[in-house]
Amino acid sequence: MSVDYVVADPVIASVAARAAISTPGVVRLEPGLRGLVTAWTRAARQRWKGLDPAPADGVRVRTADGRVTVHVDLVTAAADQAAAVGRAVQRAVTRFVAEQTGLVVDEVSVSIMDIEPVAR
Amino acid sequence: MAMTDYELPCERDVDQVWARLDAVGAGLADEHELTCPHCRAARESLLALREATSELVAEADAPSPDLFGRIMSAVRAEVRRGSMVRLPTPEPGYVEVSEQAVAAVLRYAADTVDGVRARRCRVRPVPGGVEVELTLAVSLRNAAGGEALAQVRERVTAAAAARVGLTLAKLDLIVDDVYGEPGE
Amino acid sequence: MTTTTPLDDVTLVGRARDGDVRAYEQLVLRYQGPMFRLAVKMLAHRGDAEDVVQEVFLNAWRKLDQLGEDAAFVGWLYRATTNRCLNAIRARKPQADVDLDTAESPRTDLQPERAVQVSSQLAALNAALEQLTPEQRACWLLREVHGRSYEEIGETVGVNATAVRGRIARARAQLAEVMKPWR
Repeated sequence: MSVDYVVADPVIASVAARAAISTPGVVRLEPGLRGLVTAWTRAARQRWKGLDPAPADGVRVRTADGRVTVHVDLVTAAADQAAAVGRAVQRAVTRFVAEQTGLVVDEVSVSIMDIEPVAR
Repeated sequence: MAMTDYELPCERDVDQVWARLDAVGAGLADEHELTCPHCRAARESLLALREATSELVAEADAPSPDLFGRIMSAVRAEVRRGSMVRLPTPEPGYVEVSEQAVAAVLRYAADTVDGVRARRCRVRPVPGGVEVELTLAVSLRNAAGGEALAQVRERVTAAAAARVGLTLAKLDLIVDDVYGEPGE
Repeated sequence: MTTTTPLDDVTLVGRARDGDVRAYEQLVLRYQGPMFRLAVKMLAHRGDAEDVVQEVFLNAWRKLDQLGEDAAFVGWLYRATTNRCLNAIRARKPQADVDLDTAESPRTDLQPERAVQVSSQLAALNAALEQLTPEQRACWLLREVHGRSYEEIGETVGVNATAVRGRIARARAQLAEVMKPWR
């Protein structure tokens, strides 16, 4: 299999972040204490014209032995069931990364750090 | 000076004069208080102090508006990740939620019952769900009856399922305080 | 939340100990004002006072687990604030008996950022407060401005209630003397 380019982890992270944040019931991504700020390099950005460089705080990407795993830390809204939102994020990230990069994500894991109550 | 800081030449002390300020003002002065120039002078000074103190108390000096934000940013940076509870998912990978978030949801559900305030909420993951120990304060009128607690049980169980997606394997309610409400 | 009445301190502290940040926010909103007012009168410097308040609330958050009873939280805040102020004051003066340079110290500008007119009576009291020993000032403020009991003040500064009474009596006499000399 020949590849023209390698999809950098920051690119995957950014795509994953956008997928997560667009999922209904997700309030925001939350890096927490272990969150990594993934660098969005100029070169990577130029390769993907049209993609807004989204902050990828709260998203961790690991690529090893051809396996891609994504982990997302986020906050959900109390109006939605946390488990359902978590599952929706797993599916959204997988779909979005496949659509935008052609990559198959092997695992998406979601840590819901907080459930935000309804606005007063 | 031979006297201590707060003893007057007439051998009364400032503390006494202070304690008697209102009485004297109300016309209940004793013979000594009416005639002694030291007591009178001390009284006037203490009245001036009392007035100034009221001004000080009323001043209500406020910190700069960004202090609150600075405090809470530092606090949030330290929020422990804590324990996580697994939620069911058919997808590869896992979905988990912080115990702290679950506790907040369950406390909120308990709060919706009239005359009940949730205090502590302990969440413990077990196979198939969680065991919960919820500590409550109840108002006087609820202290005897169990109806409010039955409502708490119902709402907390429902919230765990509907808001989180968790089954409660066990729910222990502990009432550890009673409070009075206005009018009780 | 649909509750219309604000939650009591003990409930909020209990939840904060559970890790509920929103409950802790309510406690900060409720007590940052009083703690600031205590610190600013102790230190006569708004910036220093804000630093103390920030440290107190961050430390309280970290140490919530070690708090004995939920009801002890507010007393803990007063103790922490008072002690940090006393330590800060001690750190300023290398020798205990040197206080004659207060006139030149920028900290004697008691209200550096306030353009608001302060009555001459209040200004006199502020100046008089600066002349008390820090321990007297703390006891007097805790009693007269913050309404703490002699026992509570004793626990705050680490002396018995009788000693507290004595300090406050001396402070009161001295303040009254400065406000309107009677001796």
